[in-house]
Amino acid sequence: MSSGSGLVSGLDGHTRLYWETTGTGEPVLLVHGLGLSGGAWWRTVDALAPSMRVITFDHRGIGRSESWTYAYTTEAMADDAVSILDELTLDRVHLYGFSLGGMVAQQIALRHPDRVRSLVLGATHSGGRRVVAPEPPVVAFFRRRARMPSEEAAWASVPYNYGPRTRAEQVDRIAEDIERRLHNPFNERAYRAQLLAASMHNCYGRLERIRAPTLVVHGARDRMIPVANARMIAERVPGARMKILAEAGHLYPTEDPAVDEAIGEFFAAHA
Amino acid sequence: MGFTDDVLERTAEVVGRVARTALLPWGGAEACVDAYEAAIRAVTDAQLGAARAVDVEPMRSVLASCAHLTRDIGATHLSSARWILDV
Repeated sequence: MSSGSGLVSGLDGHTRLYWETTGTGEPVLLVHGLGLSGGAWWRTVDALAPSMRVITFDHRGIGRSESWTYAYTTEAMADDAVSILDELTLDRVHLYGFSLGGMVAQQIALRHPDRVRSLVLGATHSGGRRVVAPEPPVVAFFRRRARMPSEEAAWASVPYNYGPRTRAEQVDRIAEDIERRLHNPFNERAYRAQLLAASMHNCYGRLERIRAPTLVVHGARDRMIPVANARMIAERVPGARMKILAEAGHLYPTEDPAVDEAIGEFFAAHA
Repeated sequence: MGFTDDVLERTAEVVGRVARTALLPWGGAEACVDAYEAAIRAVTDAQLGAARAVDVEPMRSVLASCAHLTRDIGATHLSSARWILDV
């Protein structure tokens, strides 16, 4: 399977974005979530790369990417993602954003509509006043997490990231996730900047302007971003389809591996 | 919802209602926010265009950084305005 990697330098002379590409075929850009690097997509890359060219990258300030300041917006992160498409000379791609990456994917679909062939929004919300917030203990955990050592934070986040069935029956898969996550050093400042970007994110009023065929995927047991947010997005994006995973929590790609196949079929249907 | 959140929500509701009424003569709140967004995009694109055209450092970095600042400050305004105006 062909693969490659590289760095895109921003015009500002400070921003550097690390990207990787695996496989050949229709290109799909994967946009990852809060505090994670592009490497967090390893399960999805393995599932999609046999039939697609899968592009992952590290958001600014995370993993091997660099940033000048620690003041981010989802708009800036969307423009970063598009700069990688420019570097790879890709005009249009399938786009799959997860959690914070789903917010960035909304911005890409709105700011650069010509670049998006189809869109998958996973475990995300639209922002704005109508967003359904997580329960107070979850919010308190988000704030606490930045101060925790990486390994402690990774294990402490398990009750918030995974559904009850996964926690009971798939501990080995959770351990695999955490082992992978710990390969990349955690950047507290970038994490806080991403939290701020997520809290300022607001696409609610513009969702109906998204023109790309859209699939909304969410775990019904998601405590980080309650599933009501997925229903809200699916109701507002014209023609959007929705896939709710009954037993999954926030990190559904780990909990329900079959979902990657369904997402691959969605991309194939819109090739 | 805590007391502070409740007060914030109610205040935003009142401010939003007043602002929506005040913006009616200019085509309404959504049109005004869209116009502001278009203006931010135009200024950002112009600065980025200039940065690409000027192949001299540090001019290029300064212009690109200004473009990014314009985009991000504008994005913060727009997010807040949309939240308050509920558009």
